[in-house]
Amino acid sequence: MNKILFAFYTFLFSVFTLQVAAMDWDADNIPMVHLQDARRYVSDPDGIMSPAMRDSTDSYLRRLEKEAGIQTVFVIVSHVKNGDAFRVAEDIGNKYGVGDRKTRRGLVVVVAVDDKKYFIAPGNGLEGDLTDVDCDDIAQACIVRNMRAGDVDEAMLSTAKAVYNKFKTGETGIEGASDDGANDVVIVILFLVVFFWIVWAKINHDDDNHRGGNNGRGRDRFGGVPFIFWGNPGSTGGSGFSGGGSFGGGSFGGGGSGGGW
Amino acid sequence: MKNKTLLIVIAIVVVVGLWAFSGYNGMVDKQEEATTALSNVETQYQRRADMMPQLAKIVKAYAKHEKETFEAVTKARNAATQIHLDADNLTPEKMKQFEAAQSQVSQALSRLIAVAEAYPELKASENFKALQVQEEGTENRISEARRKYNDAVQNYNQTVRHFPNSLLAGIFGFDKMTKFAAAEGAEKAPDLDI
Repeated sequence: MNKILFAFYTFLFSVFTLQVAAMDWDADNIPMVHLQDARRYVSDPDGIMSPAMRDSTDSYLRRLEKEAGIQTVFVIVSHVKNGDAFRVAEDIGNKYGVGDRKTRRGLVVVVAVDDKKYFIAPGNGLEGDLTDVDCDDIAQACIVRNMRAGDVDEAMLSTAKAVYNKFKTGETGIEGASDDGANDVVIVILFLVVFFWIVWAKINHDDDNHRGGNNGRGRDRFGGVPFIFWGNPGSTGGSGFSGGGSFGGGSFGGGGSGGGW
Repeated sequence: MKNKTLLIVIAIVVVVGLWAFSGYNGMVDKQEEATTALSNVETQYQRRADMMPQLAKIVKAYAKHEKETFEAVTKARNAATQIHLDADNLTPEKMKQFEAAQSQVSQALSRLIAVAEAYPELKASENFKALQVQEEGTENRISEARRKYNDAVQNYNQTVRHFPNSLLAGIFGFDKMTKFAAAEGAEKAPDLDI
């Protein structure tokens, strides 16, 4: 009896996992994570990227929206319907109206890992600044090169970086992206700042515990500056949950570049 | 009693008038959407036609002997740019004529691109590669513009053919519009994957 039950459960599990594995994603069923959480732009329903790299990619795309007014949707899935990444990118852009209605500066990037297909689709208002040739350059250097090497995380992150750089500096910076000395210096400085910040917060936290009857907003030991000024991480606490975002009514007309690897 | 009948007649006239007003305006809006989509289709085809001389020039620099191909490109381009789609006089015959001319352009373009196979230096040229990418983008734009036009026409046609809108459409002359057919080769982007 147990064997029969086991076989039955195994069958059910196989059917379920096969269905999940064979999921063909399109604009109607790809979850728009940005609508649930305004800080997120990368839709990864198959869980292909590592969470840390997905967060880093989100971080660049968030800055891209805040600093350059370009709203993006990055999609990374195993399969897209009919293996047509172009169709999915255009449909997502037009269905959700990615980008502002007035400027129509939206951007949709779709990468289908098992189909080995991608498409970078700029909105109608972005086509002048991010031409088909720009999209192809970014795709070749970031998506094609990294996907051939099997590095999905780097493919998505470097694409987000290249687009961000393009609108911040006018250059994608893709030639020297991997060995950019300036970036290394920034990373080291950031690391040191975060490290000392955490150490300092820990010291203060211990200090707070020892103070007992204080009002919790005591003065620190570095010149008596209040904690709040320094942004003591030990004091901020909460998870920082952000509400859902929205799309602005942008439109897409078929521009951009796509292909396979 | 007479007053009551008069009031009923007035009420019916007002209701019919409001229905006609909103129905007419709705059909005008949908027709405008479709004609805008049509002009976008023409813009995209024109974009492709504008790119052809540039592409031909680059190919010519490496492959001077492909005279026949260049002539075919010029002929197809000239023929296609002479046919315009007039939204007020859009007959199925006119659409077919337009599509046939654009199909000739697609074929000429495919031949032009195929020439690069025999000329490795041309194939490796940065300018040629950039134009190829732009050409591919233009084909995508054409396909997307055609799809949007067909969607807009379907929406409009459904409105004018549904009862009771069909009565208004008949009175005010809102005729059924013609879609792009999936004609042989006309909708197909040239294969640029060389």
